Amino acid sequence: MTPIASAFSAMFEPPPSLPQPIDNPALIRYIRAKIDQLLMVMGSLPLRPEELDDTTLIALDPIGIIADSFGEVITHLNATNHRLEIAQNEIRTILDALGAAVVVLDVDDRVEDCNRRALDWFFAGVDRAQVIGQLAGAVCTCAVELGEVRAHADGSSHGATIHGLDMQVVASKIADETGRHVKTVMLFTDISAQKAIERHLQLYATVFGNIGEGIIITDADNRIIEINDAVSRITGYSRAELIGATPSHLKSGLHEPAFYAEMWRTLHTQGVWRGEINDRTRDGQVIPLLQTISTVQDAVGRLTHYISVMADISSLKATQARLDFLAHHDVLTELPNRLLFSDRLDHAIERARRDEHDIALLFIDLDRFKEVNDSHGHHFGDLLLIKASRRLKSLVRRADTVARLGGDEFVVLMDSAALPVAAANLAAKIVTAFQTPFSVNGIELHIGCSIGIALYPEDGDDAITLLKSADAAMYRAKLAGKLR
Amino acid sequence: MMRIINIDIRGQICPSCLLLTLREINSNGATIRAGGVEVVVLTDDRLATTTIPATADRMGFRTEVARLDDAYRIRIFGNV
Repeated sequence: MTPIASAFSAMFEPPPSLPQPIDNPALIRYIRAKIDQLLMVMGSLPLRPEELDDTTLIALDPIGIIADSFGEVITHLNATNHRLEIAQNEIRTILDALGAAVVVLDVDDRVEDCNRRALDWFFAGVDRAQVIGQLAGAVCTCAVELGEVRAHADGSSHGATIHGLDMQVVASKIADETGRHVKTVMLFTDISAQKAIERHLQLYATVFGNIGEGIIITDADNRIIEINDAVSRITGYSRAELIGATPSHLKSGLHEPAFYAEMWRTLHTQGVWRGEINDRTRDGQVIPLLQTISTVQDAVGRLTHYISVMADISSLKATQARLDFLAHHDVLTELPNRLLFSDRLDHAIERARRDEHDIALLFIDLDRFKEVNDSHGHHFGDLLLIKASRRLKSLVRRADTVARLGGDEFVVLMDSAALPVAAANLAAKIVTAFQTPFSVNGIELHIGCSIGIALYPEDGDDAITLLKSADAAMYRAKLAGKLR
Repeated sequence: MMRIINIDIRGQICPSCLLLTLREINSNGATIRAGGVEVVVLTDDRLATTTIPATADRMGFRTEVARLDDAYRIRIFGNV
């Protein structure tokens, strides 16, 4: 028995020296009334005299029993209160340690409870005691927002912006045992960081989807797990066709195994590889790509992904090739220009010197070209030059070089083992061919040409001398032609 | 080892049932709470199946009521 229960028992134990209550009807009535009072508190019916006569009543000692029971109840209540207090402290500690703010308002909008985070965010960081019991509107720095959250207390989660912070809010009504709304519990979680990440991810997704360069992401086993639209645009493969495949799906077959071995070695030693690679599109075309492949590692340095960024450099390559062509060719006739011709002549002389064979140079100047230009205009003259260059080219061997040095001057380089007679024959063939009129824009033009021949090594053993000799021979031929 | 105290109060009505049960509970409160004793009441008073569990509950005990053929059995026990 607890000390309190013992005290109750002692209090109601009739002292043996006193007269027994049974002898005192008034006292018996008083005792019965008190017993009934106690029984009513315990939720039971009153004692009826026919159920328990006075003698049995005194012997049973109901007051003592009830007192002892009350003692047990109080002991239980004390223990319960003790546990409740510990639980309250535990809940308070948890609430204050929460990253979220908790505010409890009663039906009159008075603050019934709040945690540390709520005090910092919504109550200017004051002590809890200054807030509890106060009207939220009087102490809260965001009473309007709080009121709106309270108005939608249906247990659902929704977003709110408070003091510039993105919040996720859950507000619920608490009812008493009769179902009457007694308080509202509101939980606010700061999701500003998540929102910022969401915005960043959205931005990255937009960049990923709209960037001109193709991006392929593979896992550690080099299986493609994601591509952007540009990859499909460049390669012609759909996303579904590439997901799960490896990038070797795009191989052109034009690179040696050593090329890929070096690429992987660089990638794994330096974490990145940059270079040009020729892949093959879905329709079989080879496409030059400028690629940057990077490795991605997790926090412990384990390789998790490869990211490949590819740019289609087909047009760049074509432009480069065109520029290269224009640097070495005459724009009008597309014949090699003086620069390329000089280079080829140097090489031809080098080979001829080494292999001890002859080369021949034919210097060709169109006759009466100036007259055509003067009478029909430069555009007409340009068309004539194009036709003349084509005719000239059709007369020489593939191994020979036809070049335009400028104006109406052309040269033919007869490489390897060119005998003087072969050069003379070709010159005659050209002269004859140029005697046939050219038709430009429906007009027949009779021009003709003069040709000078220089031979290596007889007429010069270097390019400049050889060209000068051929030029001089051409002038002699032109002069002879005018004198005829 | 759990000890069981049986109280057969068939024929009695409340509040006598309640008082007799409480007397037994009070005599063994700490032991019941600790799980050493269980009081098993046999009663044919239906009101007792309400008053006894309600009071025992307020005192911090656990109860279980079962209907038998001609009576009710109320178990009053502590931590198990």
